[in-house]
Amino acid sequence: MTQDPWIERLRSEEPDRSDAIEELRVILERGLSRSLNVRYGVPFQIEDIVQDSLLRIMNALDSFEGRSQFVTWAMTIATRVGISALRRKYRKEVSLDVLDTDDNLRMEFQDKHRLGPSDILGQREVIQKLNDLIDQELTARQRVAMRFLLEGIAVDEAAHRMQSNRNAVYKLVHDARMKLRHGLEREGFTIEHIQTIFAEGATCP
Amino acid sequence: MPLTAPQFTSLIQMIATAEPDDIGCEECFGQVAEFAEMQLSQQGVPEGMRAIERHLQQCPCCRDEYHALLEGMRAIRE
Repeated sequence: MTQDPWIERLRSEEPDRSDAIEELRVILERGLSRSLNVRYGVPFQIEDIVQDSLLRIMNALDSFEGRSQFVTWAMTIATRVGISALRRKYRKEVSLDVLDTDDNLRMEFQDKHRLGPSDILGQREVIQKLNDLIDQELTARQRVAMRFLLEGIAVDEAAHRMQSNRNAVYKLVHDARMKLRHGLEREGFTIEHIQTIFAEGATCP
Repeated sequence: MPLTAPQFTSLIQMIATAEPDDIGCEECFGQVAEFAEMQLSQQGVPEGMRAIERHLQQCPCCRDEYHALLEGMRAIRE
């Protein structure tokens, strides 16, 4: 914990404490009004978001380490509070029929876009290996999380649908990516080689 | 249901850019204020902050919040 002047004022006796809170409230409102309006452009109660942010900030004062200015740290919290609130409020009902299959959410690759009959670059072999790795090494939740992201679903939304949290879903996906990478490398495929054969314009004739 | 060609390309990118020392959303959140100040003062990214930069490239939610933070901080500093 650091002895930043803001921390001292926010922990001081009244009326100094209320003055500091009011000063911070004005700063947060100015910052959030700009950033949230730019992102969402929809009517929302900025006062409610700022109030929630202030509560979160006051509860988190002990965790401020002084690695940034206090106001930047406070805005980081307020930004997450604001965006999370608006994401919840304007959450789109995304159709995910793609997940309503009975194939254990196995990913399949539509190779007709890329593979010619000769497959001189060996793309088909890599795709087959990837399919095997997905089947054999990824858990069902890893496959679901990966599929959400590939469908363009935000991590927050994926976490909501999976009754999890953002950090856990991100970790699921990260671990899945590492399993696939290591699996391909074990089979002798280098990442550089895979990127090359699937690069734009590398389609077989 | 098969992946489309763009989805497949994204999958390849996700695999190719995976690193064992990638950080998660909460670790990123804990350091992003410091990272944002460096960005706002146009300093380069130090080696110790590369993981934050990589996470922001990989995670759309954290990236969205980071850009909003920069936007908000610019408004505060005006």
